[in-house]
Parts: sequence; structure tokens; C-alpha cells
Amino acid sequence: MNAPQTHSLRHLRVADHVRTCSVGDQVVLLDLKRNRYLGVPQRPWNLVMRAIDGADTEGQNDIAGSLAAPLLQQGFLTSAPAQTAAEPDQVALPSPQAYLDARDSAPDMRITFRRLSNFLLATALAWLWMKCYTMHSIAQRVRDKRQTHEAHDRNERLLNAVAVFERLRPLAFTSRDRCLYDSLALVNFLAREGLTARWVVGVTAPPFRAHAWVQDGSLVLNDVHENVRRFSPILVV
Amino acid sequence: MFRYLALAWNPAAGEPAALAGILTAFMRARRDWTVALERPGLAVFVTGTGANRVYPLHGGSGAVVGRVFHRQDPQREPERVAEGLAASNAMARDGGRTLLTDYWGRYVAFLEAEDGRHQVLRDPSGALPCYRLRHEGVSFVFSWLEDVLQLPRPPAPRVSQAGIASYLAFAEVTGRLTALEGVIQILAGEVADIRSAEAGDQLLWDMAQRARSPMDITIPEARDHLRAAVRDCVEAWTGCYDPILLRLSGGVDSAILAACMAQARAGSRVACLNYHSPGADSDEREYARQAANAAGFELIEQRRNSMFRLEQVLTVARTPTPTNYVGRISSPTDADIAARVGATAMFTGSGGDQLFFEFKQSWPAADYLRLHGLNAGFLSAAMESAQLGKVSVWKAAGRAIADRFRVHTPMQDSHVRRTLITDDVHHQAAHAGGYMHPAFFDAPGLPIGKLNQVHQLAYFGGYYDPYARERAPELVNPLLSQPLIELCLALPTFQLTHQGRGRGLARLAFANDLPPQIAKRRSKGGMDEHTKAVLAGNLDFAREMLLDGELVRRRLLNRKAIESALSGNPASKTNQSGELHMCISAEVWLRRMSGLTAA
Repeated sequence: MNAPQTHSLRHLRVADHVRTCSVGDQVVLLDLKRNRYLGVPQRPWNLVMRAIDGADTEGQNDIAGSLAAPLLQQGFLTSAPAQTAAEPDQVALPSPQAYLDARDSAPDMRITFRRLSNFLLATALAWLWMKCYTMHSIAQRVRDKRQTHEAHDRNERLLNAVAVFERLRPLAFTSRDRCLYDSLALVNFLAREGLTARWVVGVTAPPFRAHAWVQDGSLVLNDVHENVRRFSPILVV
Repeated sequence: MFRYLALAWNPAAGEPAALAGILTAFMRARRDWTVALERPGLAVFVTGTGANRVYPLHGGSGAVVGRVFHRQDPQREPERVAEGLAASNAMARDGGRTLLTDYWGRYVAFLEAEDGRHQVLRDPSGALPCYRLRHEGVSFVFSWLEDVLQLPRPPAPRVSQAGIASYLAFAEVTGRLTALEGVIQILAGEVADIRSAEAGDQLLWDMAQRARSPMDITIPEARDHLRAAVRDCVEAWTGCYDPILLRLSGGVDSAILAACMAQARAGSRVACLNYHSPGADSDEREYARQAANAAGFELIEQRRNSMFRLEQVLTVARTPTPTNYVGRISSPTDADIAARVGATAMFTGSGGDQLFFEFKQSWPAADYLRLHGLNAGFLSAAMESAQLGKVSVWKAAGRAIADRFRVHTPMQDSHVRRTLITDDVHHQAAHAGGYMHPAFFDAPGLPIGKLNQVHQLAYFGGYYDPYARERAPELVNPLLSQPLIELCLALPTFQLTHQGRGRGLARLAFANDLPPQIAKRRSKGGMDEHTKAVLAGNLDFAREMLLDGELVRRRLLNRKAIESALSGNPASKTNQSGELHMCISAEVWLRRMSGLTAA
């Protein structure tokens, strides 16, 4: 395929199902429909974005074109008109400043039948999502679980819910090296408890690594903040 | 800088006795050295005593050099400790056993066996280095190789290819053999015949043996024992220095240290030092401030030097094995700040990870099963282990049962796959027996959690700083004291990780002394970004050292892998900056030692 001319780059845009994030001197692209990451050097990417915006690429049309071509071919860029408004999961995320220490602090960690069944359903649903859906579909489903109204004692209920989740988690699954599953299970459980928190996927490089966690404001719910701070959020739902 | 140097020879052998005469005359003429012990065929010299001293044994038959505390009364004045050692007939005749049971500290003991052989015993903490080599019929026992190399007619030990390979494979050489041929390490708790040229001495105090006798006590009892042991050890060391510089990271261990030092009767003045740098987990100032405030100590906050020039490590002192400079980049600053506050010693919380059991693995369930079998308490132990290792309780239980029947292969368990070394090195490392501590091989029957604790304790911290040398303050790690090491080896891992937390028992023991945020802290500080930044600022130096250096020439490093690692390839799957620094340390050491042998 021949590199598109720069004037034709103006009709291109980042596909709706793609998220981007700058990490060091790279840009990481996440294709939510194919569950795939791609890293490209920052400078050529900036040239492509400038060309798409119609700005002057300072005579480096070849570089922009030669990067845009394969990205178009692989579906990271598209020439189709935009279908949706600005993605709600591009919202800014407060920098993680603390982690939730639920075990020692929660006033009510009783394992009631309701909580147990919510937990089991949440973990089963998370498992099912990961088996059957792309991240694009999962993100939509997580978004759909957003609570429109939360109780006035929300913070205490959040603390109790996370504490219960931590107590029950070893009975159901291994969370080590399974951050995505753990995070989805927690998000689902919180939703069933009438609570909302942000599901976050972040990346870092080099070496390239991706990580998922759940965050409420600047509070990390299922990891320590020093760990998640290594990662730049690429998807926030 | 406290050091010792001993010479031993056969008085009846002509040439060795003549050489010994030259060497002892040379040492006596040095005003900065004093005679600690003189016997027929043996002379021991010390320098830079500071808080250390010489403890003569009964009838002048031997001497202990370093710092010694009485087991039952750690606060006993040094003079009374010395009197007790000198008065003890048993001490002089039992090959050091009384010393090991009735005393502890940081020492090396020169003893005379009943048959007249001269022996050396290294204390179980291993804080003070102890090496032996034989040259022209004279045996040298020393803590600092440079002292030996500056003698008249010095030995010229050759670099051991297998030793270097072991260092590269394991990042440490913990066994009796070192990276220099003929230079033998006396292990912690080991007694050796000074005039023997061979390794294979006797471990009077054995970590694995200690770990095989677990205590059977309740959690409250374990908590109280731990608290008392930590306080006694910290208080004993605190009483030796005033003022003191404390490296306060903000973690649980150094915070415990600060709390105990604040309560110590000696009332030594303490200044705390915290290093920070930009990064996800390398700025713990908030925690350090809490710990310093709680203890009532001044806190000095110091930014790490990411502009450190690696050329500075080219003048590293010559030592029996390489030392990674990454842990010593702050040495010049440590020395400056120590001098500024008037401290001759720097305390750290080193050892806490291993002693208090900070390993995020589900091993404690396996340990429980080995000790108690499948009883009512196993499920609770499995649940706590699952919390600790972040696995399901079924996985924790399954692994515990599998471990019951597994034969551990220490070499396999301890060998981390390195990315920059050649296959030759991997192969040599697999047969590196003598370069690894015997605990890696002689620990049958130990459950997996306790086995890993023992392995981690085999890595001795460095007493000397081969980069800052005499400028460095004396390093003191109070947690790595014999009474506390013995206790933590005897406490089962499932008690040490009480409630499924790393350091769970230690947190419980000091819950009322630590700021709540630190007592419950799950995160741990690191300096990955800092080491990456240092490497990035010294890439030319790194290339110059490694690409066509001695390690590549000796086929110990893979040149292509080095090239790729130094290219900053973003597709790299691993963070290789740590391994690169280690390789540079080894290359610098090798060039220093090769320069010696060339002369």
C-alpha cells in the first residue's frame, strides 16, 4: 500500500475504539476491539497528528505518511466519519495519592448472605466478560453500571464493601498477576453494592507493561498507589 | 575504619618465619595499628577501633576483636564484658562455644585450641568480614584486603573465573570460596584453623540448624519475645555511639529502629537521613517525617544524586568479591552528612525483610502443614497465606500439600535467569557449590518458607564501603544481631506473617510505637527510576566498560545482549538497568584486580 499523501491525512482520525497515551518517548495505542497494544515513537506520531489537524509538518511528510499507512491498515486510524461524541472514558483521573486500607479500618465487614451472593455473581460476571467480550464491550458494560445516585454514607459503605471483597477474594480466585480480572470483579461487586468507582487500565514502558486497577478519586482501592503511579492511564471508565 | 589483620606461621619453619618477622615488624612500625594479640606463631593487629575494642581472653591465650555484648545483660559496660571474657577459663578452651552462647555482637575471635592450633571464629551475625589466605608459608586472616596488599612482598591472588561467573549469576558470592583464588571466606558462625590453606571449616552456629527447631508458643508470647529482642539489640548498639546517623526510609523496619532508639536509655543523639528522588515509589518523605516526628528526631531530607558520574567507581578498593555500587551511590553524601552531624556510625534497618518475613508468597501455609499436619488450624493458616501471596485459598492449600512432598533444589530456587550473561556462566553457576553458602545445600527438611528465609539471610550486608572507604561512617545494622536472628529463625513463618501480612508479627509487636500509617503500610519504597536515570546519564561510560571489556573478553557477558540493553530499545521486555549496573561493578572490580596481578 502506498503511503497516503499528507493532504489525505486530514481525513483520518484516531478510531473510536482506540485509546492513546504518551509514555516517555513513545505513544502507546490500545485497540479495544482487538485487545491489542502498539507502541510507536512519539515524534513520528506527533507528525501524523499534526498532518491530521492540517498543520504544517515542516517538510516531513514522508515520515508522517509512512507511519499513517500501517496504522490505517491495522485499524488504529480510520477515515470513517465520527459516530459518537467525545468518549466519556477519556475523563481526567486524579493522580493516585493513597490506597484504601480496608482490612483494619472498615467498621462493618460482616459477610452476610447478600454480600456473599453479590460477590459470587460479580466474580462470575467478570469471568464471563473476559471470556466472551472485547475490552471495548467490557468498557461499555462497566460504564452502564455507573450509579446515578449514591447514598450519603457512601465513603463508609465503600470502605466496608472493599473490606468484604478482600476477605472473600481468596475463597474465589487468585488475584496475583490477574489485575484485569480482579479489577473487573471489584467494579462489579461495588456496582451490586450500589457504589461506583473508576476502572483504570494503565501502561508503562520500557519495558512495556500494562496494569488494571480500581480508583475512587485519588484513592486506589485494590493496589498500593506507589505501584499504580508507575503507569500512565490509557483507559479510564 | 575498624580493621584487623592477623599473621600466623610455623615458628619452626625457616622462610615463613623470616617473612613473618618482616611483616610483623612492618605492622608494629605503623603507628595507626596496635597489637591485639601476640603468641608464638601468631600476631594480630587492629586499627581504627572507635566503638570496637580488643577483649583479651584468659591467660592471653586469645583475643576477641570488635564489639561484644553479654547475652543476659546487653547493657553491661564494656569493661565488665571484657573482665568476664578474660576471666573465663571455658572461653579459652572450648573453641568458642561459650562465646556463641553467652555473648553476641560484631566480632572475630582468635582462639587457641587444646592442641595449640590457632583458630579464628567469626560471630554469627557475620557483620565483620573475615577472610583467610596463605602466601609463602604465612597465613593471613583479615577483614580488608587492601591491608594485606600493602604489606611488603604482598600476595597476588588471581581472579577466579568461576567466582566471577557466580557473582554474575547470583549477584553475590556467599560461600567459602571468593572471586579470588586462594582467598577463603570464613562464614558467620564458623571456626577455622588459621594455618589451613583449604576451605571446609566447621560451622559452630548454623542457620539451618536453628531453623529446624521451631518455637511452639502463642502469638502474644511470640510478639513479646520479638519486641524484647529487637529492643535489647537496638538499645545495645545505640549505647555504643553518640551521635548517630539513622537512615530512615519511612518503611516499617527503620521506623521500628527509630522508635526503639528514642526509648533507649543511652539517650544518644540521633539525626535521621531520608533519600528521595522522582518516581512512583522513590519518595517516602511523608512516611519518614511521621517516623522522625514520632521519635522526636531531626530529619534531613536529601535528594538522590541522579547526576552521579560512574567514573567515580573506578577507584573502588580491592576486595575478595565485587560489590555493587548501586547501594553506595549515596556514600559521599552519607559521609558528608555524618561528618556534619558529628556521627561516626550510620544505622540502617537492613535485615528486616528477611527476619520479619516480608515475602509476598503463600509459603507459610506449607510451613504450617510441615509443622502441624492437616489439622483444624491449617485452613486458617492457608487463608492467611492466601492473603499474603494474593492467591486463592485453594491454591495456597494445594501448594502447601505439594511442597510436603517436593525436594527443593537450592540452585534452581535461587538462580535468577540473567539476560546479559553467556550460557557458559549459567552452566558454571549451576556447579557453583563452593561459592554459595552451605545453607543452600544442607537444609533438608526445612519447609519452603523457612528455607527461603535462611537463604536470604545468607547474603551478608557489607560492613565496609569500598567506594567511600575511610570516609564512610561505620555501618551498623542492629536488626542483624545474633539474638534477633536466632529468634526469627525459630519463629514459624506463619507467626511472623500474622494475619496474612508481611512483617505481621513485627507490626503487632510495635503497633503502639509506630505511626498508624507506617504500622499498616503495605507499600515498599524503591529506586528503579533513579538507577535508570543514573545509567541513562552514564551510557558512554557503560558502553566503554562493557562492550569490549574484560567480561566480554572472558566470554562471561554476551556482547550482543549488552549492545541491545544499552541501546535503550523500547521493545525490551525487561528492565535491565539493575543487571547492567551489576555488570559494570564486576567489570570495574575485575580491571582493578587484573591490574594487581599484572604487576
